[in-house]
Amino acid sequence: MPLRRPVDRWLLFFAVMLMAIGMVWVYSASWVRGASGGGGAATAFLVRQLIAGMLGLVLMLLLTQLDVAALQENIRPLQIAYGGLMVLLIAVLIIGPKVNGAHRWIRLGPFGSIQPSEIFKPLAVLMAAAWMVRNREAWNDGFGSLPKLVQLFLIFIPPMGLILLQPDLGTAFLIIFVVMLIVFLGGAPRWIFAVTMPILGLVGFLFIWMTPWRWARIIAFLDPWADPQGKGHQAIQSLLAVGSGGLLGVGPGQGQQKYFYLPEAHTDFIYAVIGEEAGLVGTVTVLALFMGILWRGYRIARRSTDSYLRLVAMGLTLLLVVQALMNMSVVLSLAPNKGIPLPFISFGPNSLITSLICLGLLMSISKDASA
Amino acid sequence: MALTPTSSSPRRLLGRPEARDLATSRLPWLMGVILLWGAAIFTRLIWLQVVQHRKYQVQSEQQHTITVPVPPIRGEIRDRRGEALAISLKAESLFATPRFFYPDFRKDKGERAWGNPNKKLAQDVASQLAPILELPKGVVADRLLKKSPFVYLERQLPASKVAAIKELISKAEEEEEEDKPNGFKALAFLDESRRVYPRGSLASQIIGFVNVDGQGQLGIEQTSEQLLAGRKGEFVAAKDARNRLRLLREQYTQVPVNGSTLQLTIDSTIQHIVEESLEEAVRLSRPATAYAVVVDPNTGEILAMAGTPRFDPNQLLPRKFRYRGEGDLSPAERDELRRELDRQRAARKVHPVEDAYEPGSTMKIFTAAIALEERKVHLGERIDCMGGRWVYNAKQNAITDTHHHGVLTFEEILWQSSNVGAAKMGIRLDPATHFQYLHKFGFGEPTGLNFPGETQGRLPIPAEWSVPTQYTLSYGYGLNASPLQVLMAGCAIANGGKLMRPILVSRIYNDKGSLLKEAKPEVRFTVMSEETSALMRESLKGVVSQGTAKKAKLDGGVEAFGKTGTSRKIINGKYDPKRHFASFMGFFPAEAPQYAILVMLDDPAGDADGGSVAAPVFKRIGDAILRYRQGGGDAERGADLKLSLRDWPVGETDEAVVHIQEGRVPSLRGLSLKAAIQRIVMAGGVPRVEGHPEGLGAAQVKAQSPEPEADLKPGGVVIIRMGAP
Repeated sequence: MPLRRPVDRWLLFFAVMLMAIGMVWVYSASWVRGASGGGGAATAFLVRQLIAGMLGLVLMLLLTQLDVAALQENIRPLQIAYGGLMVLLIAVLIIGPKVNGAHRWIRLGPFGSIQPSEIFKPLAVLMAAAWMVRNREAWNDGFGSLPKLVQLFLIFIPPMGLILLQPDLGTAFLIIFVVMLIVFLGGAPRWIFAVTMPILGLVGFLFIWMTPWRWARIIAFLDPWADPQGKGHQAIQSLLAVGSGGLLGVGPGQGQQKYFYLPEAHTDFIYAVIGEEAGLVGTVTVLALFMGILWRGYRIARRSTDSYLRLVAMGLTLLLVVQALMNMSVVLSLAPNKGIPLPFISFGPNSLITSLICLGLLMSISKDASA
Repeated sequence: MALTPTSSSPRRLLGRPEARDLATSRLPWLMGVILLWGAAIFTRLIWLQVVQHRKYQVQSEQQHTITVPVPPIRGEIRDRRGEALAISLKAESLFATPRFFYPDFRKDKGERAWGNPNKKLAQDVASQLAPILELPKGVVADRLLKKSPFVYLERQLPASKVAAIKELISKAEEEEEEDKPNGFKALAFLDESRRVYPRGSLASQIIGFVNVDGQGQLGIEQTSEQLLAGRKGEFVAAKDARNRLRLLREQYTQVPVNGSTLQLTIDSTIQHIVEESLEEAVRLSRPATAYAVVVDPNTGEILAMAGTPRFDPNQLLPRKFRYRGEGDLSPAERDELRRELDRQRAARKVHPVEDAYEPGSTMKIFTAAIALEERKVHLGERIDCMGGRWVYNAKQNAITDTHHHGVLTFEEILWQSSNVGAAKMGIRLDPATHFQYLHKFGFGEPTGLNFPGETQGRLPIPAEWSVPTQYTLSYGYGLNASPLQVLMAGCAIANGGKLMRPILVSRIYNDKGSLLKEAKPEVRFTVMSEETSALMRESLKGVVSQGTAKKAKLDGGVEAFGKTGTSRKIINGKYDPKRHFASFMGFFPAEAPQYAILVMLDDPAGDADGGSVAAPVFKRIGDAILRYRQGGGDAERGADLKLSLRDWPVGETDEAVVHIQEGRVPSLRGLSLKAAIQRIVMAGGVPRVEGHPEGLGAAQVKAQSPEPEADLKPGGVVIIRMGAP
């Protein structure tokens, strides 16, 4: 048995801090909505988030015991998980109820619901990393690397297609982005990116341009004040929330924007509520905690001597941090709205559990001085 | 790591360029990009939360707060014993923002571009609202689509309808979906106060009414608008995005001041007596209009002032005509509407102060009093009345009497109302002195009542007098005056020679019930001596006992005195011998008059004179007042109004919302007056309070008709009788 280190306690600390902040603001941002929804209680959202947190922590603890390195040679578990998620991604289109115009959840009666696209995120990291490491010889082979990359591309086409069908552009974009970073870190030749980036960019542009409401989101991002009551509403309300918070904020629970001014205050725009109620202190704290996760993730990757573990660690870290930065960018009107939750903080049991799965895997790698 | 024997370590030992090393070299580069991204977010946070913080704070404040106007409650109008004649209840009006139904609405540089309306949405809202508002669906839809920033759907709704509409609004909100507009968002309520006149048409001409915007339109409501209206308040409240108030941070930027309560000198019971008597007189003598004023001669307080026809300020326009344009009405309905409007226009004229007439024979008492005061005549002096025809100047028309009197005493001239006799007394006076006295009697001068539309009459100055002027002035022609002026002048004879200023508003209380102002009796002029006044009183008793006004003799041996008046009306610039103002001005009890009454019948049917048509009305009023006084009424003047103000608790009226069902008579026994009225109004009825002469204090409802739980048609009258608890 190789030497084992203790788990990365800083990583755990940062994540638990974020979760704690999340619980406070899920309640603050959702109680108005919870209390005014049909017969709901003010704590309705908080209770669901707390249960998910418990479940997630249990899963995380279990995953810290997993031997991640084993997955690079024995890819059967990944294949099984891939197959299972494909079934769920198909099922969600068929039996998932349409909520806000998208099929995202499979209802499990009293046990809540499953969001397959969320669970697919860590799997995508594990798969991409495994692929990159297994085919490492190909990457120095000039054009010889092309078939391998095309194969990887083909593996990701079905799940990505299904996620886009839901439609859930934000998650699909995030997964593609992180997978490309893994491919980049995994050693793929630079010219590949010189070719694929423009192509993907064009495809993405066409995809957005051909769907009127997505195009409208872009327009609204560029000039929210053109239609302050309609398309620009969300962006403006988010800026108002963040800007009115000032240095110290108006105080936890004292925010006004959650009174239905700010859409999705407890999910995608919870960072705005934090900005309003906790001010610059709150927003910078959250940003710093994510940077802390980046720092610990980077450290774990650097200290790992195994290529696969290194790629997985970096991939999972990027998955969490890039997602957080994207969410913040949307809230601060630095990027168009994509519908991405803030990891550990936004309300969403599936999102929270997925984030804790990533954390569990990272911690498992951190213990492993192996290699 | 048992499963991975061929992991990276051996390869690294071989020193071959491996992917891992590439990862190592690319990683810092990637980290740099991510850190830059984080730095960008940090910079953005500083920009938004520090640099631009003020701007966003102001915007957010504007968005989250709303300035809520708090309309003041209009002051009340009470009679001299504290009985409510006009009160205000809280009412809500429903309005809409039509812009909501115009999806393409744009406001460019102040120009409004409306675009095409979303008709379906408006009609959907209208079809749900119409049954509650009891209006045709088309009317509601038209109003919703009116190209105006603000449109009333219905003013001053009863509480049950408000509740039903609020339920519709919240239901629509719950069912709201994205990309599907909720038309009910265009609706909102506005607090207003609703004026109720508990005694209906009683004293309506004096009190006036308010228009739908709450502004006084006639009478006291108009003259005392400033006092009654109060001052609007405002507070700033937090609201949510659905425009619901969150009254956590309520703070008044302007504290509302409710209107003052006015206490009138009017006595409701006497007013009622007068109005009934006038109705009776109209039935008997069919004049164009009949009116009367009752004054306390010692103080100038107006106890009653009424005229026919009357109107009910609670129901100015019959419901069937509301919200319908001229075009929607059938010809028959249009006629009906026009008649109704004409009738109301006539009813709103306050004849006793607005009409100027030539006083005729009534004037003789002033001529006599002046001559007596100036020692130009003495009691019992015999004056030749020339057989009822006196040609005093060949070029002028002769002065004639209706009867051919020979020589009459001073008293007999008054009793028989001889024009010749009066003229002979009048010309004994120096014209300047004559004028001075008439001026002191108040002729040609405003009375000081300041009632809207009041006339000051006309008295020519001596320089304008022609040959016959002094003759005709002596028996009441050649000048004109309002009935109130004549009555006030008469009071000067009755009260010992003092011309009083008429008073209608005796006290003004602020909304807390403390007294702001009290009108004290005010002597405008001392016209004559006490002695002359006493002699005149004595002389004029004969008018009632043996002269032209025998029909004015009161029951129970109460002596009265007074003078009839029958003056010809000028029709097309000429005196019409067939058309008269028939009046009687009388005072009782004769020894120390407490009531001065002037009754006027304008153009009674037939060849009727004041003695035959007006004197009986005086008697009817006088007898009824005496009965009322014997029954113990009045007595404690100025009952504790502060107490009765406190007697109307807000809680009692608020609680009513829960219990009242529209279309059903509510149970009212034991409630205070205001609470009872509020409930009747909420149930859709019209309250009518029967007089309660035992005074107010903490009165409560003793009896009601119809009984509780009976069906109540909209506008149905519910009579309540008040009494001591």
